[in-house]
Amino acid sequence: MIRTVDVIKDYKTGSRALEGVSIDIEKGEFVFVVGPSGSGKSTFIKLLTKEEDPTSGEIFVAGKNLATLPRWRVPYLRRNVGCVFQNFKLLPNKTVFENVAFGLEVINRPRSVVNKQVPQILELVGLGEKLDRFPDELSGGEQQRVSIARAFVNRPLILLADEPTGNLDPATSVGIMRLLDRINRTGTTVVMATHDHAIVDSMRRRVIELEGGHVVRDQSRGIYGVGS
Amino acid sequence: MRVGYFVSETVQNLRRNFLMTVAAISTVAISLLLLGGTQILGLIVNNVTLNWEAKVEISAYLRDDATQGEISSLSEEITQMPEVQDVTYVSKDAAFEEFKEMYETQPEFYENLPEDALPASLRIKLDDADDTEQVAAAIEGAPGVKDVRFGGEIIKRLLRVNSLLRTITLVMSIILMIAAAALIANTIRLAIYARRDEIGIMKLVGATNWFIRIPFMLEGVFAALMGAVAAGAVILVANTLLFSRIGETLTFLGPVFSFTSSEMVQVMLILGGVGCAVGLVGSMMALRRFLEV
Repeated sequence: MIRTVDVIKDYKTGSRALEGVSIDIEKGEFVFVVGPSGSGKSTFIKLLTKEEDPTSGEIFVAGKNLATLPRWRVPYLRRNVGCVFQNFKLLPNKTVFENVAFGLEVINRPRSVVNKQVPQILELVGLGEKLDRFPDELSGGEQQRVSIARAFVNRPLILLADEPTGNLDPATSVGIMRLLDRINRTGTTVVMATHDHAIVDSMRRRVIELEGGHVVRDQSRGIYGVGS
Repeated sequence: MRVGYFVSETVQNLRRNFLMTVAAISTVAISLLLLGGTQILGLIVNNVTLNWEAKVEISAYLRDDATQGEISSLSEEITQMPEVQDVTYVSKDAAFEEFKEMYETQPEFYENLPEDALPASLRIKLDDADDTEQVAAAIEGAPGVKDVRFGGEIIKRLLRVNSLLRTITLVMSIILMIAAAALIANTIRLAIYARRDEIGIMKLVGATNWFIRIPFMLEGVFAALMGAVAAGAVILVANTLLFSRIGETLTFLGPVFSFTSSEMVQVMLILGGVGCAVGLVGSMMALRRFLEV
């Protein structure tokens, strides 16, 4: 589902974010990408949506070689890759329903589909009663659920999450992780960048550890740190 | 594609930057008004030239002592020339009558004039106004001819002044159009900035670039078209209220200020087309680097 071969990413400032990263992720896997700040986790996620291009190396996502994928095809790639962020990225002037519907409308889904799928997905994430609320009327955990609903409403093959629990307290984070786990069980490949020890340790899934842009560990059913 | 979505986005963007939009629309309007002015000026010059070319004739004033035989042989000779279309003899009496007619409203011009003050003449019409000087030179000094006059120099000078005027207004309107495109670009940039979060999410969930761009392009073209409509309205109003009245009052100018409706339609189409182009160029300027996914 995701394959990177010897990926090197240098930023224009001259700093090297990733060096020789080769990773294979199968369909339906749940993978944690861990490491301290600046280890290259976010860069790795950005490469997978072609928000950034690698300096060298090859990246395959959902069967597409990103290097040869023409610019105009990138939006279609992204329809297969849902994204969730630490800061939710919700539109404050739209309701919960409208925020999720927006993600479908701008890729030209017909209104009938929008009206059917949005309540369904909000029910799935546990917000079936709060369709008409605005984001600032919700708790952080609820906002992240809306954001996950938006990323998943289109049933993407892959869900990328960059520190999705970074702004949430531990109890709320557990709820979010349950939701991601549920999404993973539908066959969706989930890649989550995090530095939350407790979560990684409790889930016991595959862990890829980055340090200074290198992969220093790739372990199935791992915990956050060997030494920690 | 959702037409309703694009229209509502466009209207929202325009309202959000009301003042910038007004500035952009008025700049487009002024630049197109200048452009329309040059077009109208072109039509006027065209009318003047047609009018005058029809009137270009050579007057060969005859000596008072020229004999009837001299006059008829001269007239015969000129008629034979290949460039000449027609020769008319205007007697002293006829010339005086014409003069009286021309200054009907100002009798003091001719009241004290003896009836034979004006010379008799031969009026020579040519097929082509370009031959005027050549024909005039050939007649000059022929027996019985006192003086040869023609209007060619004046026309040439008029045309030169007109083309200078047209060039100046055209250059000014081009400069203003560039300014208009830049203002439109700026308006759109503000609209993009105001919606950067939404655009970010649209990119994130896989909206195509054209889907994101179209509302902004519509905004630019719409603003420019509003300007074109304003400029067109001013020109049409000027045409009905001003030009046609000048034409009615100053009849001696001939049909210089009367334009056919197809000429006006052509001017309007030029304004609309150029307006659209300015709007598109402005939008492109704003969207050029934007949206590089």
